[in-house]
Formats: sequence, C-alpha cells, structure tokens
Amino acid sequence: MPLFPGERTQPVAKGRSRTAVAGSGHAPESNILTGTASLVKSQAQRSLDRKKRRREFFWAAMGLLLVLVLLFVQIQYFSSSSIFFALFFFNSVLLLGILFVVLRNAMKLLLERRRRIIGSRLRTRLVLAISAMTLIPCLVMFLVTAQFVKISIDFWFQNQVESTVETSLEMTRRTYESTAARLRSQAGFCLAEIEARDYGWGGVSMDAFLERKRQEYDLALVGTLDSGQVERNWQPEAGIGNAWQEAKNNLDWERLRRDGFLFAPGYGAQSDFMFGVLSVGSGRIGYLMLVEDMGEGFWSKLEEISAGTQEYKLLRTLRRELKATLYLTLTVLTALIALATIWFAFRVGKELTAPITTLVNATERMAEGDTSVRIEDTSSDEFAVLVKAFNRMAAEIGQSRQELTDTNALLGQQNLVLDQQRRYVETVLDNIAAGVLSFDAEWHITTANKAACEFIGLKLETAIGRNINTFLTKAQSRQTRKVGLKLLRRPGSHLQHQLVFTHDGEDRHLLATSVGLPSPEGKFQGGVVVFEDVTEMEKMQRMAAWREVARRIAHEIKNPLTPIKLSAQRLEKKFSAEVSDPVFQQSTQLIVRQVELLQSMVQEFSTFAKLPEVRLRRGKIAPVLQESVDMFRNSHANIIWSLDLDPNLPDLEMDGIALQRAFLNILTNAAEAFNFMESKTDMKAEAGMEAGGTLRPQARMEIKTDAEPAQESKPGRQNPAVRVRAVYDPETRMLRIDFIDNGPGLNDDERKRMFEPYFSRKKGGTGLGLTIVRSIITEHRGYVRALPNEADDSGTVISVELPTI
Amino acid sequence: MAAAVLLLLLCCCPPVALALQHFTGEAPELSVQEGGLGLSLRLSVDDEDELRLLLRNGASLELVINAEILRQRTFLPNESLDERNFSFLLKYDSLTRQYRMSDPLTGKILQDPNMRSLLTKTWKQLELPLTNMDIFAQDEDYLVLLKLTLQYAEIPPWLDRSLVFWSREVVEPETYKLEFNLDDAAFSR
Repeated sequence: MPLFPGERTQPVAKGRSRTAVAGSGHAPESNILTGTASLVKSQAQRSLDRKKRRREFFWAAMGLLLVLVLLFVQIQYFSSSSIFFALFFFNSVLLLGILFVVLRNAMKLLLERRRRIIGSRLRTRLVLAISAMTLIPCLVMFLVTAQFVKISIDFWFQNQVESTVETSLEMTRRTYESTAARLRSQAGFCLAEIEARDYGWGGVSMDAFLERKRQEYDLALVGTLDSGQVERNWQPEAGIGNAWQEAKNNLDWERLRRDGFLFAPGYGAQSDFMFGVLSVGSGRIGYLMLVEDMGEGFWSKLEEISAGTQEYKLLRTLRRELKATLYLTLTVLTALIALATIWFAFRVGKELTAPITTLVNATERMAEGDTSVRIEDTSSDEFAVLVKAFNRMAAEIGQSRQELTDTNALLGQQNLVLDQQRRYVETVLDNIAAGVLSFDAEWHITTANKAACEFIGLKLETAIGRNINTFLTKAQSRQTRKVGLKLLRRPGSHLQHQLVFTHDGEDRHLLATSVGLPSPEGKFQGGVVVFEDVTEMEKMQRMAAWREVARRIAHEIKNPLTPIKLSAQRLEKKFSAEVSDPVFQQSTQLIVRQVELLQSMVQEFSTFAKLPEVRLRRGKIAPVLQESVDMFRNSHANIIWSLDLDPNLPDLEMDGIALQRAFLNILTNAAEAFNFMESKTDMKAEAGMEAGGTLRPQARMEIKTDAEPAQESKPGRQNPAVRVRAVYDPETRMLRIDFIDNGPGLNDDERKRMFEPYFSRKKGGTGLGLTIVRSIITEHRGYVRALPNEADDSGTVISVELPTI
Repeated sequence: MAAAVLLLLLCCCPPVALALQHFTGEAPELSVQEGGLGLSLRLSVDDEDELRLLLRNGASLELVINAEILRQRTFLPNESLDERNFSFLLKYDSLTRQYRMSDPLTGKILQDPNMRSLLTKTWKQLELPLTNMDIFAQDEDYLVLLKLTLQYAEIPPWLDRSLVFWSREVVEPETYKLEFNLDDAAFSR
C-alpha cells in the first residue's frame, strides 16, 4: 500500500534474509521501471540459485554414494562391528559436511571481505568473536581433559596398584595352592595308613577309618573311587554330590593317572569345595578323594580376583589403545563442537548482519536519492523497531524531498520568469537610446547598458567593476564629485547635470540624471545614472534659433534694400549725365551690386527660414540624381561629371524636390571647390516637379561655395572631376549616395563644422547651403557626413545615407 | 581441524588388523571321516611366545574356524549347502597357572600348564567333521571356504565399547578354498 500519494512502495526479494529492501528509483515512473528490472533480476537470481542447489544436490548424492560404497567395503571386508562403522561413517560424513559448510562459509566471507561487500567486516568480527568465545574454553577443556585422561589412565597402572593386584593374586594363589598341597599331603598320609593297615580298597572296613580321618583333617568328605571311578566309602555331606559330579566330568583322569594327584574345584549350592583326588596304583586300584569345605562362594571370589587381575593386565596391555581411543573421541568431540560453533557463528553472524546489511544498503540507496526505498521485516525484535523507524524516516525524507522538488520547480519557474523579465529589461536597456549605468557605494560600475558604454567610451566587458572616476576628465570629475557629495548627503535625491564626452573627435552632450539608491536605513549604497544624448537636440534648438534669426534678418533687411537699390539706380540714371566723375557711377553701381548681393543673402536667409516641410512619397532616386548631374554637366563643362548607379536601387520614401535641392547644394559646393568659375557662381537652383514628374525649377537659389580656392599644384585642378555613386546596402537597408570630388579637400575641423549654420570659409558666404542639405536629409531620417577622399589623395566625399524602409 | 583431517584419513584407510602373527602349519585337507566330510588341520602360530605373553597378560583368545560348503555353479552364484563353526577359547588361569582351552568337539575344557603341550594336543591335530556325504552328488564340483580367525575374546563390555579403533584380531585371518568332487579318489564312497 503506498505510503504517500503518487509513491509506490515495492516489496522486493523476500529472500533468505528475513529483511528485504524494497523500492528503487527517484520518481514513481522510474520506480515502476526499476521495480520491473529488479523483479527480472530476482527471477534470474532464483534460477541461478535453483541451478546451484541442483549442482550441490548432485555432489551431495555423489558423496553419499561414495560413502555407501566405502561403508559396504568396510563392512564386507574389515568390519568387526558393522553398526559401529556405519555410525562412524555417518558421523564422519556429518563432520565432513559441517567442515565443508564451514570452509565454504569462510571462503565466502573471505571473498566478501576482499570485495568489500557491506557487512562482511562486521560478520567477520562476529564470527571471530563467537568462535573465540567458544573455541578457547573448548580448547582449554580439551587440553585439561586430555591431561586428565592421561593422568587417570597412568594412575590406574601405577606400580603400587599393579603390585597390590599382583599381591592379592599371589595371596589367592597361595591359599589355593596351600589348600591343594595340604589336601595332597593329607591324601598321602591317608593312603600310607591305608596301605599300612592293609584295608581292602573300597571295603566297608575303610568307612570308619575314612570317617576318622575326615574328622581328624576337618574335611567335608574322605572317600574312595574304584578304578572305574565309581564312588566307594562315600558318605557325602549335603551339596557335595552335585558339585562332585560337575568336577568329576571336568577332571582330566588321564592326567590324574599320570601325575598321581589332581585337585578340582567344586561349586556347591551352600558351600564351595576343593576336591583332591589321589590315584592309587595309577588308578588301577582306585582313587582316594579328599574334599575340603571352602565356604560359601570361595571359588567365585577366587575367580573374581583372578579375573580382575587378568582384566587389569589386559587393560594394562591395551592402555595405549585405550588412551588413543579416548584422545580420538575427545578430539572428535572437540572438532565437532568447534566446527559446529564456527558454523553457528557464521549463521548467527549472517542472521545479525543481514538486517544491518539491508539497512546499510537501503541507506546507501537513499543517499543516492532513492527515497522510495523501504525495508520489509517480519520479525518483532529490536531490528523490527529499527526497520520501522527507518521506513518512517524514509517516508518523511521522501515527502520532504518531494516538497523540496516542488518548491524547486516553483522557484525554477519563478526564476525563469524573472530571467525573462531581466532579459526583457536588458533588451530594453540595450536598445534604448538613453544610457543607463548603476554603481555601488564605492563608485564602481555594477551595470551598464550598451548606450551608456558607448557614451562613456568603454567596452561593456571592461566597464563593469571599474571606478567611475577612472575614465572621467578632470572637469567631469569635478562635476560628478559635486553630484556625488549631494547624493551622499541625500541618497534619495534626483540630480541632473550635463556632461560632454568626446568620442572619435566628436563632442557629445549628455544630460545625466543621477538617482541615489538608499538602503533601508537611509544610507547611500549606490546609484543609477541615466544619460540622454542631447547633442542633436541642442543642434535642433540651435537650428531653430538660427532660423528665427534668419527670418528676422531677412524681414528687417529685405524691406530697406529695394528702396536703397532703386534709389541708387535712380541716382545713377538721373545724375550720371551730370556727374562726370566716374567715381559716382562706380559708387552707384557698387551700391546696386552690394544691395543685390544683400538681397541674395536675404533670399537665402529667407529660404533657410522658410524651408518647406518635406512630403515623403514612394519614388526612385535615380532620375533625381541623373537630372542633377546633367544640370551641372552642362553648366560646368570643364569638370568631368560621372554618375554610377547601382542597377538594383530600391524605391524609397522621399521628397524629390527637396532631395534635388540638397543634391544641387552638394554639387554646387563641389564645383566651387575647384574655383574654376571666374566669378561667384550664382546658382539658381530651381527645384520642383512638374506635373509630368520632371524637375522644374521653382526658385532661384544662389549658392556660394564654402570651399577655399584650390591650389594650382593640387591634382584636382589638372583633371577636376566629380563622381556621384549610388549603392544599396541590403544588410542595413540603406541607400548610400557618395558625392566625390578630387578638389583640394577639407581639414578635420572644417569637416566637423561644415554642416553648422553660417559656417563658411568663403568670403561673403552665408554658410547655409550644407545646413539646408543636412536639414533635408535629416527630415528623410537619413544621415549626411563629410569624409576625406582617400582614393584620390585629395578631395572630399559627401556621403548621404537614406533609409529604404 | 586436525581431528577432521585425521577422521578423513581414517575414512580413507579403514581399520585393518595389525596382526601380530600369522597362522602356520600344513595346508588343510579334506577327507572322509566316519561317513562324513572331514577337515584335517594342523594349525599353529609363528610366534608362540608372543601368544603366551598375551595370554599371561590376561587376554582370552578365540580361534574361530568357519567352514562353508558350497556347490559350485557356472553361471549362478555358488549354492551354500552347509556351514559349520568351531570355536576354541584359549586363556590363561593365573590362579592355577594353567592354560585352558575349551574344546568344541568334546565339550570339555582342557588344561595344561604348558601352552605348547596344550596346542599340540588341540590345534595341531584338528579333525573337524563338516557334513554328511549324502548331500554331495556325482558330477558336481564342490567348494569348502575355510576361514580361520584368532581374535581376542571375553573383552569386558566397557572396554569393548571404548576401544573402537582397536583390532580384535591377533592373527591375520586366513582363508582357504578347497575344491573337491566325488570323482576324487579320496571322496569315492
């Protein structure tokens, strides 16, 4: 049953260990996959185990067969006790089996230790500890017992014991032999007396004599046997009869006849007897028998002593074998205990380390990130408590991990959004014309956009971390120091000031708005500066001011000029006849000429002040250029005019009349640069389109050259040429028109200022021609620049760029 | 561990009799005795002094003569016709200083202070009746499997149980195969 929603707990491998690890993988999906994989693995493992068991069974069966064959051979050919040897072999097989198991476990443990398998070291320690705990006392006990056996057995056969046994036997033997000797002598005396008295053998007359002798010798019976071993003079006591019959049967009569006397024991019910039999005449006459009552159990006691002595002697003979047997038994028992103990130690070690190993494995898997791991345990001991605690911990870690993952995902999403916002802000900042720069409390730049870097003349890579004061001029530093001091005093204040940066020789007027960034405590911790390039704005403002000036001048000067001119003409007309002095005529003509010049200037002022607003329409630039160049080719035939047009010039939004006016101004400047015109070139440029689309002069415009007269030695004077080239740049989508002359050219300062109003190096020039050009081009969202003609070593290139979109 | 190795060796080398001596004497002979098949045996041991020492040290010895009469068959196992066992118990009586031997043929106990004399009277002139001649037929081959064993006897039970790896055999057992048929002159009726 899943512990948490979306989580699958996988019980895996309820194997030989009571504890099993379940679950794997990080996510539920991966759990399922790895769970299947582990299931496959466990099946493969089971198959392997089955094969292994079959192999072991085969070898066990072979071993058993071998044991049976050996057992059969043993019993058939060598056995003295089949049961014993059967048991012996059974025990041997058991012992060998245990030995095999122990060695196998030891080898396995050794290999596991070498492979650094988890739990092997702990198991080794446990096995060693348990084995030592049992083996050491066992070994001590073995040694003590072996010594005890040795001492005990040696003690049995001490000389004192042996001599005692021998003495007791000797005493018994003496009793026996003395009794026998006494009987023999008594029999001899008795026979001698019988012979002396000349009794008839076995006659009745002997009864009294024999009875007297019995009483005299204190015997149980004194009787005779005839040569046929039949009892005569036989008056036995009760109990002698049966004893005598048994002794009679065992008696070696032949030997008796040969030796003359024999004695034999007799076992009676109430008492034992000694029968002494004397052969008379080598048995031909008969036998004299004396019977002594030896008392109850006499022979048994003697035989016991004799048997005991014999047994003692036998034991002494076999004591070496007995010791060996005892040692062997002891050794086998010790070995059995030792092997069983080691096996038990292995078993206990395995039992104890299995759950620990499982726990360690599970912990490692959890450390690797698999929080779905669980342990199954069916026991109820302390391990079960540990397992439950582990599973609870795993579940909590899994839940925490899931929460952490969710939080991380959320944070990731938020970071993504923030990153997108940051990129958006960066994009905005990088693409706005204003420069934005932030700095820390140490005045080190922390962030800057492209425009800011461009303004301050640094690269973005080097700007970050740089102190602001390191790239400011002294004047700028003074300004920023004041601003800085104000920001330090009032970190939250907004301050504006102007800075002038010179970049590529061009001054850029920047309006810097500084904002302090106060900390929550109100301390200054940096600020942000926003730069705005107000150069063009200032120019526009200046332009507007100049236009206003031009308009007022035109307005104020234009009106009195006509009466002045008319008055001078009237004076000349009226008084030229009267005044013969040529000075008069020269003066009036000079006045008229100067007034006309002033009128021309006023007209130009007026034109500058009243430039019509451009009206952009889709059109082609080529005809405008062609017409402009043709116009100058006719009027300035001494100059080589050429026009290179890109065949793929696109259409563009333009005001043809305004552009033609601009181009005529540029071309006029170029032509005047050669100073081939003898007088001031009055260029009446007429601009305007006829209804049919052709260029129609609308106004007469006098353009004065701004250029200095060219030097005779300059190459342009030899072959004056003006080349107009129009090309289209698909990458920037800009149409570029270059007006290239090989005249004397301009210096850098002249090139910088030549588009400013009223800047002219030509005497009497208004300095408005190129200003008008710039005004027209700017209204077309284009650019106009003056560049040196590097290709011809001298001259100027006026480059006009117009957008096609 | 050493014990286990020792046991392993013991398994590989079963306990065989470390015989002190060997039987000597003439080869056994079959003959017809009193209408039956008899066996003549002149039996002695190569070292009687050793035997005497054993007896004096309290050992009781038992000579077991096992005779199995078989009818020989070509393809089938031999058929057992009869089997006889004769047991002679020999010991020394330290009380009477005599050697005693039980004679299974007479049922008596023979005593003699001289062991050689006793053996001469018994084992060195054994005539053992085996079976009746009636069980034999013409044109058949027979076989007498004779096994002689001299071993310790009357070992106290506690010692017998203790000495598990001690061989009871004093003399290496001897086995004889005696073949005969009624066509032999010695066995003709």
